Amino acid sequence: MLDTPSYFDSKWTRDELVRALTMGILVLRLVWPKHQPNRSTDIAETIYLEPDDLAGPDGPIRDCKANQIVLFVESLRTRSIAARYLSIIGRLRADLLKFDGEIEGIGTHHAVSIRLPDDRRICAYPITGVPTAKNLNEIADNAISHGQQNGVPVLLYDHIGIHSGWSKHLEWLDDNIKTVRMMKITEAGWSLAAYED
Amino acid sequence: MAKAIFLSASVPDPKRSPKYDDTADSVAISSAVSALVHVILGRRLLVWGGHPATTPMIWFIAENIGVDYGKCVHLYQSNHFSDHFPEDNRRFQNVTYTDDIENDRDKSLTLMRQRMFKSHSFSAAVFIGGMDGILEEFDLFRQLQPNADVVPVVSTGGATIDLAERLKDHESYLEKDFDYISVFHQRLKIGFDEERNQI
Repeated sequence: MLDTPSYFDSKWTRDELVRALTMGILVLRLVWPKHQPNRSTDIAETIYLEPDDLAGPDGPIRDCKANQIVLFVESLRTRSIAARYLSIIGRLRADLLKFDGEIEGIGTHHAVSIRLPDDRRICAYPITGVPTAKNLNEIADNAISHGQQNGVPVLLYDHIGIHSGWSKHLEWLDDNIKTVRMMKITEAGWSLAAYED
Repeated sequence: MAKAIFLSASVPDPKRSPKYDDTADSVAISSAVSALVHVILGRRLLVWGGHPATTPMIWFIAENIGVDYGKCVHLYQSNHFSDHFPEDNRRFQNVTYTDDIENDRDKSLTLMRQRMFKSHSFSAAVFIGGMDGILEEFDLFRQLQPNADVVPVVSTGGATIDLAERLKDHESYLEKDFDYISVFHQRLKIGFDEERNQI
């Protein structure tokens, strides 16, 4: 986000920021020269821009600073994705323990091998962000290439922060595509306890 | 009634606190805050100083996991910062406002912290990342809640590292384990199967 004096004048910029933080997407705050940053973004990583970082009073940002920002964003992005996977797997592990299930291991494509309470094994694939039909396709292909030994694979996602219209679309996909199941991470424990092939 | 847990967390600012900015891990700080909220909402009362960046995020998570945000969270805010209060404050009756003392930031914050630590029975305080304010909060918390546990999440860096050095002994997983869901269940002794209806 480019933190300028007028950034928080818009309801939409504030909402975008909250939604990103809620979904675990890290924010890089670029503070405009001489601007005092808003406390609403104190949970973000910060780079302060100095007047010399700009080619003129209104920009653009000089190339050397822009390159530094790009590298910083990429570092933040990759670490953020790793943290979001870990968050989903951590919540899954906690939920499974309620029902005497457990995570036995994690393989390629983030495939999580799960032992259910009745000792059956299934494979779950955590997805960060909004799942798509392409994700379902890839999971189905991956399961086939591994012999689909563990029943119907499961796509796990975090619905917090996903727009309700998208959520309805995901429910529709789940109702109509039977080669992969979709589960919200917040309901994974109950859903897996009742899992049937 | 379930005891309260105090949260102190922020990402150090590189200008205001360069020393703590050097060691802080913003990704870990954000993950730890989010995990703590997921673990304790509805199971323990979450009390904190209403950081404007995180307040809307907690409300959003509460709504999505189906717990009553107004009951499960209690915020304290100093009127010294009234220009920065999140809009969400107006929607709920879970905010205690404390006076702005002589337009002085430090005096106003001390009053707010005293009120906060005297108004609840705490089982623990969790410290994540942070700047100098964390050390002041810790001192006051220890003084007013001497029997409560203190959890420095050292892996998040920032002033929490200094706090851990003051405490001397802490579990090594607080330095190395980034699976914060497990860390908080274990360290705060909150069962995986505890229902979210305890407040």
